[in-house]
Amino acid sequence: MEVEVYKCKNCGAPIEYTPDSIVIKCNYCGYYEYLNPGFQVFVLESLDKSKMEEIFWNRMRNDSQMKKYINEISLEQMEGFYVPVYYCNYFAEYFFIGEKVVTRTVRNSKGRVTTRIERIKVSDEGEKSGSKTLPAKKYIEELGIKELCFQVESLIELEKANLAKAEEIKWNFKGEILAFDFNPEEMKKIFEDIIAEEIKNEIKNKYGLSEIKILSCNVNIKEIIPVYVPIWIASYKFKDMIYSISFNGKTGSQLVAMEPMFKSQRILSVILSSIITVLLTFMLSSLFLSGLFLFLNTEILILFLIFIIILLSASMYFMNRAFKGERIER
Amino acid sequence: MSLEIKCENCFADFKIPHKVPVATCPYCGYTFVVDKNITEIYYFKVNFDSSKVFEKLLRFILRNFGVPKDFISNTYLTGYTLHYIPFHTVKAEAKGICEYKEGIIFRKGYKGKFIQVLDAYIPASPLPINLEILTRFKFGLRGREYFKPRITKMGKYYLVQYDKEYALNLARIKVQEELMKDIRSACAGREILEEIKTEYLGITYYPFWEIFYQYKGEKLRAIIDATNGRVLYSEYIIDPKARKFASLAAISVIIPSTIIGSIFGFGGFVIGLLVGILSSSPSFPKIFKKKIKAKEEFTEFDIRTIMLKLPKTYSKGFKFLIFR
Repeated sequence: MEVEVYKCKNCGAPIEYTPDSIVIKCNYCGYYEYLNPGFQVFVLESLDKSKMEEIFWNRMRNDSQMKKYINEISLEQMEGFYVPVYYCNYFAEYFFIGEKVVTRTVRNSKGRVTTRIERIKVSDEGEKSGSKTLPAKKYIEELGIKELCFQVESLIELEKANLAKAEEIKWNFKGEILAFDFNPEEMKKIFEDIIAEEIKNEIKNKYGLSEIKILSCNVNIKEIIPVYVPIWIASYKFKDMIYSISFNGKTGSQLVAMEPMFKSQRILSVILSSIITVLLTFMLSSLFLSGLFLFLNTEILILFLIFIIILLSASMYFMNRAFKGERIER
Repeated sequence: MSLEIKCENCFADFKIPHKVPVATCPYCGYTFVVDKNITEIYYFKVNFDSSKVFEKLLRFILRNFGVPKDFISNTYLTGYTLHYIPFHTVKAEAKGICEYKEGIIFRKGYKGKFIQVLDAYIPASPLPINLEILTRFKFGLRGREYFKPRITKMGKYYLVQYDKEYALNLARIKVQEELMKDIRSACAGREILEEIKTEYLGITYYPFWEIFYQYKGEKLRAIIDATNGRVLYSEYIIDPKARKFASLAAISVIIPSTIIGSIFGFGGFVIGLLVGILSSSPSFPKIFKKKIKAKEEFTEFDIRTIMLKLPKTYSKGFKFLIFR
């Protein structure tokens, strides 16, 4: 392992260097230096901090709930990050053999009804192409990263030809610049793995498979672009509590907002939970106590039970929501 | 356990803990390699100091449901400890094949290849019971720095007790398990493990705050990530008014559903009651418990990063470990 001590190219002062340094700033003369990670990195340039603050206040003024309390809100912090992401373009071919469980109701010549469960072999092949964007981090926990990746995907696709190069831009960004945890070669493998996993799940759902006997999936990454994308996180104080909202630093659009939970919203959640529970009781009682379930065939009965489980989790979700500390808006 | 060395830049003498591969001179800030044979050691900076972290904790707790209005004015900090915990980091890769013999499904037989890659964090020292909760979290690698001896004097410092081999072993077992799971979900043939590769990425020291505080004589405790101020665990006392609200909420779910059920007779009454109780169960901790636990929710994203739990008993010769 080599440890190097960096000196400012402008004034010669020693610069603190960490294993993850990408852009280093001299504390004495303010000179910025971009350290090339060994591959060409592009940048979606961020709006500046004052512009982001303006966007935050506009958002608050236009919010139906929060605009009533605009005088009680104070912006505590506006934190910016350049997040490393990889954009890729892929083409995948797949082939699979699987099994599907089917229930069949048959009426024989004497008029008796029997239900049989059968396993049917299903096999098919196909292809898929598309694009995908993922953070180049092993682990990251900023608010709204997934939404950011989703939003920048189309931006990168549009501007692919004229993206700014990392070494050519002025790095006077007032925030943190996160390092790339993977190089393009490593990321290619990760993309292949994740896309194949996605295709596997898609196939399972699309064909209703209970088991996959064989799946062969060839993912071909046609193009891979490392890009720095900006995210800004605003922390605001409201009634002594701190909440955050994250914004796309390129377009200024909101990614995820954490908002206070008001009493009226808690009551609404309880009411919703109550209504769903009543509906559930009604359905269960009418089905099992009137003997209706004896006349239904297995397939419909299974569907019915699934529906009941969905309803029960919905009512529990609303009940849980009534006691949440904050509301998340995406 | 400490070692006296000389700085390569300013020639000052200073002490470092034993087995530290990288040292930073406390006088000139120069970082250099002490022993090239030993693996890399990193640490994470404490970005939230004791005063900042308590303020952060109070603001977080205040955001929760049913916190008394006088919580901030009546809560006192009674103590805090900074825990610097070492984790082994290992990158593991496993390759396998799923094979069909000739004639079963394919006339010529079939072989499918599989790869599983993961990054594992393994505590390098036994965790005290009050900190076991930490194994449920993953940590970022942002802000990682080369090890500085001064962290050994900041708070409680844990010595590395489990060696590299042990960590590699755990990661090997885990990656094999994940690979087999992967193969079984996509192929029903015979699974064969081809090879397992592990790469040791070094030791990382991660700081956590354990905060002790009191509200009206009730002793409370919290654990906070000292690098980003994230509240991993905290406790507060619920306000009686909030408990009343929770009880009312539970009743307003249980009673209507019981009434509707009763229309269908006694069986319906039982179904209505049961469904009502089940639906309103999220409110029970708020009704029956005085001390409420809360943690900060974060949106996370990770690529195959895994936090491995330490097995309950550690013996050097284990081969068959079961992960829950």
